[in-house]
Amino acid sequence: MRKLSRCVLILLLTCIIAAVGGYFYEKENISPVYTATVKLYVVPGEENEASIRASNGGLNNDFMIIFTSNIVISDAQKTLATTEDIAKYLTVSSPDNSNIIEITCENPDKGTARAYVDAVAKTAVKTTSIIPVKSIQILPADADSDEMIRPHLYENVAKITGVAGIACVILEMFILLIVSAFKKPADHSDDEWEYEKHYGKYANAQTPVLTENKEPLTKKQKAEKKKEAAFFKGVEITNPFADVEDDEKQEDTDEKAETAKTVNSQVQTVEKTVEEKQTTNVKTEPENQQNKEEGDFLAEYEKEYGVPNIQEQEESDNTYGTVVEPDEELMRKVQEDIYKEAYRDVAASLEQEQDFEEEDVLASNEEQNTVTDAVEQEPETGAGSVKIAQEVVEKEETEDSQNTTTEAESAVEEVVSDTVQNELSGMQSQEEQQDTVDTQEQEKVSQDVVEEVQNLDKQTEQLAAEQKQKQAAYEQAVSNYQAEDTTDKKIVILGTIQR
Amino acid sequence: MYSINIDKLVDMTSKEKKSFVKIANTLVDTLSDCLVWPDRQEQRPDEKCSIAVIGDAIDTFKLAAVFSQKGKRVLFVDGNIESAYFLGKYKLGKELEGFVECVMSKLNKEALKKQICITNRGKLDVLFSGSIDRGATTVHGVFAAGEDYIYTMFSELLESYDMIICHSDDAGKAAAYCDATVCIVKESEYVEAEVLKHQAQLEENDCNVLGVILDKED
Repeated sequence: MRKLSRCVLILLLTCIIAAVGGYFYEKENISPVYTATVKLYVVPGEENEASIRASNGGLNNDFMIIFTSNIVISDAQKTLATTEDIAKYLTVSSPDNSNIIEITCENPDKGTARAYVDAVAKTAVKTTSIIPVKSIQILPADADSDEMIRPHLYENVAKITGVAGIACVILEMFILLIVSAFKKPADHSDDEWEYEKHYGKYANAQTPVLTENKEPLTKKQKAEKKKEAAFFKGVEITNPFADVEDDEKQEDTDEKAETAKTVNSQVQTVEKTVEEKQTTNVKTEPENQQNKEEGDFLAEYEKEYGVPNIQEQEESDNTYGTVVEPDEELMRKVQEDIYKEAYRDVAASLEQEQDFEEEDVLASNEEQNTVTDAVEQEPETGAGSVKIAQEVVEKEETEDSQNTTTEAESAVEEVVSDTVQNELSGMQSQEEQQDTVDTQEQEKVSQDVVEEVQNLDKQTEQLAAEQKQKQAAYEQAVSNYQAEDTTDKKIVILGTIQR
Repeated sequence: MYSINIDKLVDMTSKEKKSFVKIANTLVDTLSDCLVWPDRQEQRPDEKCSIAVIGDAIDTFKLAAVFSQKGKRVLFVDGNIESAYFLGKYKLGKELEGFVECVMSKLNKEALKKQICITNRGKLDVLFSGSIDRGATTVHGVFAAGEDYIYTMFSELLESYDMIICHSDDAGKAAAYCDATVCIVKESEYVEAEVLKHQAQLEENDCNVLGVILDKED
């Protein structure tokens, strides 16, 4: 297609150049011809109308024939005193729908053309005896109406253009044939052409497009889809061929996941301890009451710390096999959860203690009454004093239990804060240790490299020195050899070629 | 048997022709002394000899043409098989057999004649180099294969010709089988020490170096 368009363009260009060039060439070479025209007005008469009228509304060919016939021409020759065949210069015509006859004479000489046409016109007027018309009159001619023309100019230009076009086409065909015959076959061994030759086109190969299945999914399918989504969560394939980078990333994520697991396990232990405390301290109460109290404390907690993002945590709990990154947000969430749990426990224990106090007060009052009664009843036996002592001991125990609950609260808070701080500090210390190990390794490697470079420098210096010695020895040997040669042998010049 | 037109190749100015004729005369005079080699113990009858020329290929061919104009029947052998200059010059292609095929096939006298190309100058014929690519061999391989045969070949050819002018490579592999060796050196590149060195190398390769022809350029 490209070759064809080139050929067409070349052809067009050639034709245009040939046309322009041919025009100017012919204009220069064709000698000009002058045309002189005379118009005759014919009055046909009513009776002759049908016989002289042509189908186009003009006058018929009788005039043309007679005006160029020997009858008119011989008279004109006599008038002009010439023997030249005037008829060959004449053209007689009649315009459509008119009674006009135009006699035109073409001649290289302007005056001759005018003289010829005037002579013919004068003679033609006298032919009314031959042609059945009423009269013929010569219309006055304008001398400036004579025109200069170059006959066959455009015809010749067209011929030149055509010849040039044909020659161009033949030449193009010839060149194309030569090129195609002797052109070396293109070497496609290292491009896709060779591949496509054997295996078909791959550039247009349609890649399969994954479309969504619009049918409603069943619960099982949804669950599987969720599992898949959870499995691939956190896994991002950026460059499938960068294995090394992927491995490094995988190692980092594994480390992070391990740290997260340790944090989770520690948090679970803390939760367990809190639950144990709850079981030891809290007595069984109706569930509704407990929920209500939890709601109150949650409201208070939310007032203090804001609404925790529990939904995300729940979602993450539902997933399995995911890579959990122990980032700051997660640590904050864990800390919030721990505080929340601890706050709940502490609040619950405080409430319980208040209840216990009230019950104890009531019980102590009752016991005090019983003791006083017993003392009053048995003042002498000493049994009442034993009871009083027992009660005192019990009171002390209740006070101790109160103290233990407050201590437990503070202990829980300390444990939580300690674990979180330990984890954070542990992570930081691990990173610092890794950094120190890396820097030490790098220092070691750099020291090794420096030593190797120094050794190589030494070796290169030694080699350069050896090479210099060899070069010097070689040069010495060559110079000796040349000296020996030049002393022993001579060159015989057999002659000189002169140009 | 095929023929070539060598008019264009041997076209010389009168000055050039005179210098070549002079060189040819000098060579004939010098050769008369060295036709009997002490090593080979062999004498050429009727002053028949083979001369190897190391240097410009066209000048070598012109020298052969001058010898033929002097009335000797001359065979020009293109022994520089690595460059295959004349095959390329006449665009004869790698299919044309020549010196390589003669040596590798160890052709007899009759078969050798079929490999020779005649020219429009009656007394000068040409044995082209042939192609080492076509024979799937190397320059060293050809001369190793023809170590003994090339002497025989030149002897048999000298029965039909008065003189063999062999264009040899710079190392003088083909020149070693000729009676004498001549080097053509451009005057502008002429360095005595280097020429002597080259001469020594050629002599090490069993070439009998007669001397040097200086090519004086305009």
